[in-house]
Amino acid sequence: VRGVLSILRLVFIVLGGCLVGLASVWIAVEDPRLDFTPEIGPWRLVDLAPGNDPYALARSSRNGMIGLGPSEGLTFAAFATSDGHRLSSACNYRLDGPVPKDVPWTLTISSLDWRLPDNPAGRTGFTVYDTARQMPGNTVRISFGPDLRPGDYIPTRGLDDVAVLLRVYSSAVARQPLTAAELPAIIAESCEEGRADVR
Amino acid sequence: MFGRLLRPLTALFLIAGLVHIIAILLIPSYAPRHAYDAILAAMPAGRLSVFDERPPPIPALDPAFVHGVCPITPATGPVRLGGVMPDTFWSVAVVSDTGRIVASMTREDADSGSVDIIAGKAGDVLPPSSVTNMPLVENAGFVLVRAMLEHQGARAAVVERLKALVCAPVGPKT
Repeated sequence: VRGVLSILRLVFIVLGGCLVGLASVWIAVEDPRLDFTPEIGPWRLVDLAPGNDPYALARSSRNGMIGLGPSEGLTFAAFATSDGHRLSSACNYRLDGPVPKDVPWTLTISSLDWRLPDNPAGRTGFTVYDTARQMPGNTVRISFGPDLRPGDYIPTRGLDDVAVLLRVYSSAVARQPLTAAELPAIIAESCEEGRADVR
Repeated sequence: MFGRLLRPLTALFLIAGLVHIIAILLIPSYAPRHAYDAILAAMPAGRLSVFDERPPPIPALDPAFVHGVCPITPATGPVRLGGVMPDTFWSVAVVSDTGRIVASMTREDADSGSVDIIAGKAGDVLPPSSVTNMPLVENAGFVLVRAMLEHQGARAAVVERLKALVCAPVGPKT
């Protein structure tokens, strides 16, 4: 009897260890709160040498996303406002502030699974070439949300959730990443009644 | 009581830690959605496919760009990509089968508006000095070409220029 108990205990320990180990992997890869890639204001650096970070490589392998190489530039992703509230497809936001000077950049709105908004204008984002920039400071003001806004505006109707991707195509920026003061802030403006609070 | 639990719990957490480390390291090789599998399922290997209307089977590529993909497999061996690039911002990246960008270049790195690269397993070919060598650990990955659209009216010209690029397997004696 003692031998059987010992074997059962061994089996329990091995199975329990495997379960706990696999569960911790799932949490580490899937839970964005455990994504410790560097944050700059509301922006998270997506492609900071994932080859050196097994967790980043595991995440990118899971979602199939190919970022930018070190000489191509950097991708910044935002899933929350500048004051830390998760972006919602029921809310209207304003992206306000400086963008990198003299380098190509693009800004794209998508869902968390990278689905683009579908609208008659085909507007899914803005680029260095088609946004209205304000001087001095090379700043942009781009609105996104379910309600039409004047100026540069990206509709988000049809998306279940919202992510913002800012890609900066410059090896110089990739070598010396930007500070929060050099990137636009994301500010909540209003929410559809009954769907979500602005905070 | 505490002493009797301590040893099995320590063993359990040691096993959990080992499983965690091994699983994290294995995910890139076995993740079901990684880009390489999707690409091989959708396009021929050893030649450049340019994605004009529909997007390539890789999530989260920049919609402001036109993309071209040239898959590298053990059957094709290393590939050579060459030609004149569009007159806009462009980049070329070599991506391994695990989704890691192993080498890249942009318009800023090119002396002229042309590219001439060889991508594949290091040592399989001896590239001429005039060719940029982008080595992979194995012949499994793809070359990803990106060209920016400065406006939608430029799409046709950018697509035409990318379609004129040549991507083809190189023999082992190149």
